[in-house]
Amino acid sequence: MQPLPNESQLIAGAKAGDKQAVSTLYEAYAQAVFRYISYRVESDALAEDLTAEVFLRMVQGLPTYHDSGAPFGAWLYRIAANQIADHYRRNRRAVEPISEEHPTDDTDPLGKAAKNEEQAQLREALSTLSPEFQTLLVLRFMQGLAHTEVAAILGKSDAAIRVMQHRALQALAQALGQTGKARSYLRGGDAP
Amino acid sequence: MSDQFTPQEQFLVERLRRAPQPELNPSAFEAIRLRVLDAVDTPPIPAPRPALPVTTIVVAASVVVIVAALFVVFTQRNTPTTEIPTPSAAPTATLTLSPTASPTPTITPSPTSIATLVPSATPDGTAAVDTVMIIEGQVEAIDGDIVTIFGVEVQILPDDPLLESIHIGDVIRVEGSTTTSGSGVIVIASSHIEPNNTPTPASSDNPPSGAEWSDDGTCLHPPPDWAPANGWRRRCEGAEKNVDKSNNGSGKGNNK
Repeated sequence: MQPLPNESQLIAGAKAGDKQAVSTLYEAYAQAVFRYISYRVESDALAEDLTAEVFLRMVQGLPTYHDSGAPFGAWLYRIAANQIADHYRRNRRAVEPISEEHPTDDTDPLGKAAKNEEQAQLREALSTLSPEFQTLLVLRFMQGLAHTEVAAILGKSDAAIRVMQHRALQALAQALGQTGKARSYLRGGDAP
Repeated sequence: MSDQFTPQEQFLVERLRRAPQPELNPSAFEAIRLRVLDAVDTPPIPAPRPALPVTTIVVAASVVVIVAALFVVFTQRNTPTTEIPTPSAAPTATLTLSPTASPTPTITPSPTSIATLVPSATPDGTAAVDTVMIIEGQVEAIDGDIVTIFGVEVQILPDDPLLESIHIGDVIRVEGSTTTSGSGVIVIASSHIEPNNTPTPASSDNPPSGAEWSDDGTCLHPPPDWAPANGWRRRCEGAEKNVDKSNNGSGKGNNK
């Protein structure tokens, strides 16, 4: 999550109501926010709606946003995490069936199906973990954020994140249905 | 500092890194952009807070009322009650000397002496209430400027002419403020009615012989049996037992 070269100026412009600055910030962060949300909710359609909500909240919150030195993206991820939490509070974890919708890409239908299968499997496994574990695994490994960035988003120390990620990986292994094997190979047994 | 993963953890990490990276499709991406840019012009109105359920409001109101009632009751219990006497509720103590107080129950009834104690207070709301007492009755003793009426010591101003004209047995009415001393209550007289110098024994009590007796303020001349002489007896009977028993009731009285 590298900050944009002129991010401070963009933020200042966006706070002043500069549409171009807002648009640039949106373009820079929209896909990353969507990817994070899509692994935390049941469907891409819902992820789109929540992504839109995140950026609407961004516009709403910009006048009171203070640059504390943390990456702007960290603020957006926190908004996204709150939106997801609100979504589950409203729906009381009424988990929708995993989306069967597929992007319209007919060039490699078999490859696409495999990707969707993998995505659905990971989504389902992640959904059984705590929100903190989900955020950590998605941002740290799927999106490649550094410890410090994840720590800033979760409001924890770097050391805490390093400890948490081991626990999160073990929980994910269990959730992926490898519980028995996971326990043995996490202790140094044969890899599956 | 790089992470140290076990091979198995590394396997999961690699799986996550290779996980499909879903992306907003171009149409959704553009639609969201338009919504966001519209919001720059017209910031979205924050969603109204959900209204509290009626039951919640009713319960909260009930709790407030109960707490308020308990508070009022509690504070009333802890408030010290200051009784401020009002003039309408001024207590009146009436001491009636009955004939049974006389050592000779066979004598003719003596005039009833009534001492009226009327303590009153000005309802000014202050804690130190100055009590005004009115005493009306027979003078029992005179000691300097202290006059005793029915056991209550009344201090008369030293330059008050009353002190010169008053005698034991006179019926006077004094009004003054009270103060406490080591032995009891002292009334400092502020006003008084001229003493009634009528001799204590009323004329109707005198024997047909025309003999009369009057109290000279000392215990040297005891009254005859027919004279009530309540003041003298009250004043001197206790003392004479220790002084001179022979004088008790044996005198003839002072013929005038």
